[in-house]
Amino acid sequence: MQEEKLQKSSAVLKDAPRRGLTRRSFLKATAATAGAAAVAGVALDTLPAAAEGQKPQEEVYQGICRGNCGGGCRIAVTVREGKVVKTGPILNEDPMENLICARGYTHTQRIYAPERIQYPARRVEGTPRGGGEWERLSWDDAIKYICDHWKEYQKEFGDSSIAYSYGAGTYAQNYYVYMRLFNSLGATKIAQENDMTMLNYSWKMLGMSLYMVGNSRKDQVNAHTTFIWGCNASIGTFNRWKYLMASRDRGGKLVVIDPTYTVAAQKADFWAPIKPGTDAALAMAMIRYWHENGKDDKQYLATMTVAPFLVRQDTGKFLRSDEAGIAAEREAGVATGGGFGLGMDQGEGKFPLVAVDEQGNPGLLKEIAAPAIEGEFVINGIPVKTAYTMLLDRCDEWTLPAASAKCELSEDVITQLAEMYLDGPTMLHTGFGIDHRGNGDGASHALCVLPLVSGQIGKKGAGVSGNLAGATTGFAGDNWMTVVTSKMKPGATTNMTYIPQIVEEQQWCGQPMHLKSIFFYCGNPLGSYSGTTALRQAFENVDLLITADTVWSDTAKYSDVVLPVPHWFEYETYRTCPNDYLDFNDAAIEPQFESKSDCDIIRLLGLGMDLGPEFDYDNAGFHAMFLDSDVARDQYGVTWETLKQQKHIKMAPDEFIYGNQFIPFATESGRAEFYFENPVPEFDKSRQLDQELYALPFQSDPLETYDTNPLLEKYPINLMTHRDKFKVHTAFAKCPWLLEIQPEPTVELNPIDAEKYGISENDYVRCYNDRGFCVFKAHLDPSLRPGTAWTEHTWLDDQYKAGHYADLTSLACTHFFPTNTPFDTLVAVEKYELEA
Amino acid sequence: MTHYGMAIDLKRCVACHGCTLACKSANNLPDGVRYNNVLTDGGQYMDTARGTYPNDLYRKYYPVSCQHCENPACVKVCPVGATYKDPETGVVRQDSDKCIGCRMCISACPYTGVRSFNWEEPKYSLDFPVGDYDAPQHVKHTVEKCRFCYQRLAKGQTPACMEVCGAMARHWGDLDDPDSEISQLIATREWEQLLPEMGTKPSVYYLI
Repeated sequence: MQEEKLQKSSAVLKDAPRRGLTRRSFLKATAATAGAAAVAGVALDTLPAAAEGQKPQEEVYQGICRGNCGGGCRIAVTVREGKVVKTGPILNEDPMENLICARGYTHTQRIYAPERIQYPARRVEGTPRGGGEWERLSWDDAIKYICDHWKEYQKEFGDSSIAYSYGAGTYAQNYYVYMRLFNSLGATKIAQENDMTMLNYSWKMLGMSLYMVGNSRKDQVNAHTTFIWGCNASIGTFNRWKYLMASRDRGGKLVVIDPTYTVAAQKADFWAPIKPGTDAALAMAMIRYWHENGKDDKQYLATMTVAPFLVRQDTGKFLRSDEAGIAAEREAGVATGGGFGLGMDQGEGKFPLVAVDEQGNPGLLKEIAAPAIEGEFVINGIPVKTAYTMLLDRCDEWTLPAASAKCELSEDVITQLAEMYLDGPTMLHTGFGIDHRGNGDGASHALCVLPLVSGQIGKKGAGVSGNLAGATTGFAGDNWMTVVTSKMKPGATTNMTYIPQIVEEQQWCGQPMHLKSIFFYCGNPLGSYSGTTALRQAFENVDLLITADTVWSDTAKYSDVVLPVPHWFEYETYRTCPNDYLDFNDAAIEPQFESKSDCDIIRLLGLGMDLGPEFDYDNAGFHAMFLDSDVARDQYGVTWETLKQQKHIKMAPDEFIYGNQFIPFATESGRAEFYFENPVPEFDKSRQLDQELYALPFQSDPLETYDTNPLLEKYPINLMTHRDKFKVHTAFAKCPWLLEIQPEPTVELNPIDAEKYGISENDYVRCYNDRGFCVFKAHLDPSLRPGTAWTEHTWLDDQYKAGHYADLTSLACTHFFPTNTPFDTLVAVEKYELEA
Repeated sequence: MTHYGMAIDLKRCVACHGCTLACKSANNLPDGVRYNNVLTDGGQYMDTARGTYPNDLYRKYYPVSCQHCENPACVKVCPVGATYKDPETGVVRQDSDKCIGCRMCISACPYTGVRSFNWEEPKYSLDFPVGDYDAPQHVKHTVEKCRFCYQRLAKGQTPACMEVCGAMARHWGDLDDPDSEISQLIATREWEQLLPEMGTKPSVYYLI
């Protein structure tokens, strides 16, 4: 046997020139990735390396890399002579736990980056925002300036005139302290909610549990079939890639549904190049197919979902016992589809929901052995249908021919997909590709229903994963009362997409709102959010923009006051998300320049706003408070001090299978609540949603990239972004080592489109629409579906030859769970001549 | 005798470039110098494919550094013995003290791009040395390339690029030991090598 294999290998060796790279193609491939010019550096004399054997004094610390890429890697931070000289992986006993990416090796360059903000500064009066003229301030003066203005705004325009907004720029406990401050000020929260539509849908339907809506991340290896759908998995979920590979090693299949030939598609066993924005139709066609062929999992639907509950056809609400004429007590925590589970219904309770038995007799679910999940009935004079029948009715229009026409996939491919999904255990590895288009709401709903109808959930190797699950939600032992003080005031919450509207109307949900100041932290919305042309215009009417950041981001540059924050490895904190450990982050070096940690900034602002001793804590004091809970102490034996010593403490189990009788859904009913009886907008409560439409999945048109949009004549190309392996949003964008490999913003176009618009490889092109423009270097790539193009998410303003990608995008959104919708963007493309 | 080699699983590699950066950091490489690159066999630019959408598309990644050949073309042409095969490990080493900068090795090596020549005084984005304290020196008018992180091998460690591959695609070990993980992989998986017709007998195997 061994000999046979050796012979086989030798044969491959002999064949290698034909099978692999020939000299010619090798050279060609070399040329393809070479060519990145050396970046500007400091000229130095030759640096003498230490002679072998003379090991200098080195200290190694534990840092947590935490740009919310989903990795949360532990990093060995090596310090020599007071400088961080190396960042690399921390090795674990189990190699599957070892993780680092290209970015993780480059922290020396971020720590000592020329773009670090060094001291507090204020825009020089009379100069325009973004003009680059700054006046250095002392911390005392900066804090006084901010607090004096805030107090004036509060007095004249009310508490809601002060707002705060954060992204995911640092995923550790340090950033929660800002909530302590802004909660005490009654300030307005401007949620950025990037990528949040599908996450919100999944939480609403499946409940937020230990690993979000899924099994432990390690359970991926048990999947036989994995549907990578709307997820650029080799980048967007890089930290899971080896688990996907491990499932494949065990005979598993990878199925990719994506308009683009991603690297995941390249590696997959089956790739379905779906038409963008038609995912709901495909998912609903699969549901319809399963039902029609008797392949839906009726047992799972009956026991673990709201399928058997009856929906009133007159109101669209669930039928309750009092309406059905059944005697029962009110109960707390029954299915409403309206909350996020976990005992949201704290009132007098509701009458229980009603189901029918196989003979059509109504009763309480607990009293019916085998509830019907399909059918329509009249109960107590009220016409009703089961929730599952409502779902099937909704899916009915998506016959194979209808879905085939819509998705531009053959009926055979759709049938194959439906069949492969049933060849379980099946994991739905989904991401943010779907909700980055404006019709992502109905599609998010549809995708989250697939595991329920197929019964591919609640068991080993089956369920939801990708960006929706597998990462922990954090440590239940955290003392969340840290974000509350005795001065807590209720504040308004809105979303970034509504800022232009609020500024224009000076009101929000019927209450006056005069935004005067926005404090940005842990994020760079003017670089990585959408609709930045409209946002900057709206900000013209906001007097005081403040940014706390480590580097001069687009948002920092556009602000009126900037506050320097240390690099991640310059102060102590801890994190509990996204991995199943509590991890301590050492201060490898002191905060550089005049930077202060978030906690130290909150202390100064809290005292400056006269909030008293509840803010008089240092960095360690705030963190100790966060770990000061009975659960942390008693269950895990953890305090800030013990965590500091142990550094890496297991907190969530490797074995965790979600959505079954043992670990039911964390919803009010304990069931998967796929029917929404009362869909209300997450933010803009003044809007009335189409209740019937939003109760169930639906396929609608995208907001801009729909076939009949007359704008297509002017702007024929659908410009999307892809997650960039060299960045996390805009973080790492200026790292010289990474710029060597990918030196500048690019846009990839299908060669058919390139030819149509007269564009050749390496041309600079200008993409534009009514909102803005941006110049990219063009590359021809048949991976992109004709009519679509993509660029990296995202570079900083001064890295584009002209314009900014985010200026091309809009703030248009739908209102149930609004998010920004950057893929829903049409542009024209033309060749661009760089000025000499 | 030890004969160190690498096996890289192309079915797993997603071109994250972690290996390139691990190397760049550990070896304190100057600006523009990379011992390891992840090449795209596809279109004309990194990560692009060739072919026609959607049914005829091709893209494959090859992480490429010095192949540490058993029969290295570079060693034969070096007039001063600056590039030589280490008899203890099979590693093809490069000694910047001896190198006279004639660049014959670059011409002779069929694996374009694995070597670089410091035409100027090496430049760095930071004004102090980073990486391993005993990282190789980088000297003007000398040739550089991957030495399998010899400073690490000498301490019983693996090359930096082998420490953690995010895709678990990289394998490292002694090709002379039939029980080593790498020997087992080569015996049981299909593989290819770069330009075997050149007769260089590379120590890097690409599992396919």
